Amino acid sequence: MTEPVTLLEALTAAAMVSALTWAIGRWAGRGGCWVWCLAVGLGFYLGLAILGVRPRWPIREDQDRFLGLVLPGILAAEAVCRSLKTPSRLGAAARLVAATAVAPVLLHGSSYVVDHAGPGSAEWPSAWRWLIFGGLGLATACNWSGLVWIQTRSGSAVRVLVALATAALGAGLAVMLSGYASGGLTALPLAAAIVGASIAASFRAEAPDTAPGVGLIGLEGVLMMGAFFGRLRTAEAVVLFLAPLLAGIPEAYPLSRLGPRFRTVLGVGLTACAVAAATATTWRRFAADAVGL
Amino acid sequence: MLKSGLLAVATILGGQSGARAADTYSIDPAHTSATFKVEHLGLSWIHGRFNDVAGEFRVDSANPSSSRFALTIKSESLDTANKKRDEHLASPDFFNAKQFPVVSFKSTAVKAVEKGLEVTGDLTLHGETKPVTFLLTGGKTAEFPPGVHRRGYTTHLKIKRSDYGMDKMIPAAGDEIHIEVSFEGVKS
Repeated sequence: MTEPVTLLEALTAAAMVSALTWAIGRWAGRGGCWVWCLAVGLGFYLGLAILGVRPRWPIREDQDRFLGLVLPGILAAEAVCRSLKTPSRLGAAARLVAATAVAPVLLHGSSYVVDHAGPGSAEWPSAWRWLIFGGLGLATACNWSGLVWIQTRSGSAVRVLVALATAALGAGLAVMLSGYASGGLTALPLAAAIVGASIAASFRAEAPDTAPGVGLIGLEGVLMMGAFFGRLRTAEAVVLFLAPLLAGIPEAYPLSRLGPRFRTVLGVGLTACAVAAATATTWRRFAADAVGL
Repeated sequence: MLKSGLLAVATILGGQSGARAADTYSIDPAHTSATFKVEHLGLSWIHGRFNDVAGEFRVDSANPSSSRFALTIKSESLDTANKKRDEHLASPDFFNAKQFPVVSFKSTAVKAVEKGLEVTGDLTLHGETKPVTFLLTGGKTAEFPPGVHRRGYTTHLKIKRSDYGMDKMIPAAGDEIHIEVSFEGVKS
């Protein structure tokens, strides 16, 4: 079990390093998305290191694939795609590909997709498997496009990101309370790194300088690990997954007439309410029947 | 009825009902226990068992080195008499039953020793395969019910779960696992 002090140290370090990296990048005249990805990546992996979590080699488990393949992959993809200013259709296609790849990577070799006990013993028959992967990918890509739209429409560099960090924090806690403590733990430094970089970015950054993809794929990965390898319920996972979209509600009339800062606070607050509801549900279930180890 | 019952009991107690030189047995799950215990916070021992055990073995009394033992256990069948804890133990924090649904053992060498059989083989746990050696005691045979020939063994061994990549939550849940397997096979 992780000591609270160690956890606090890890989260503080993740937030500070990501904020400093962003600030140094801006001070050196290096704006843009790749600095954002570098800042979040450095903060996140430093936080994990303090927690004593690292992907093991050779990669064998979902958590190794999440930390060693999925997150580095999306950090690199976001940095390259956004820095090259790819056309919107190409960007949407890239998002769909990246979003669809997460489930097969995380579930690789598991009893969902592999016939461990003889032919036809996998939990998901072949046709179902691709339907599920496609559905999850499409849902993630739609969510991603929605977040990009909110970010562009609001003009805020941080609203979507803080909403994502809030959802990641809630997802981490919910997964920890759903019988997969180490899986949920990985979401906490990710949330801290995003918040740190977002606070630094809130001073001078433009929306295109930051990228929601890292936070969203991180959120998706943690929820998938909790739902498929832990005992996180589907309804709670869906609420946590969709919660960041609530940050877009203040863009609807008549709320859109409010000031930008108030809209940002309102958007993040709505997300936080949904996240708190889902996390409280898992907490109640945990408290009701937990004796635990 | 009484007579056949007494005969069966006498057969069990008597043991050693002349088995052939090399006999193959299928594990009888109803008379097989794969249990373990692990320390909790260094304070107490948590005991658990696996409810789904299968396998077979071949025993050659004339040439023990040609004997073979194979056992498979479904990870998800673990049972510590606490559902919430069982769910946690099945998660990737411990067994990762969805990724590694089976714990298995397959012997690679068997040697007759004073107290029984010294069995060496590959134990696959949490997707990691390591050689282990243990003493198998017993080997008595019985016919129960009439016409069904049985043979049984028992063994104890200790492993470190961290050797198998199951290294999370140490020392809250101890690293060293004490395992006891007691099994009966029915002659094929």
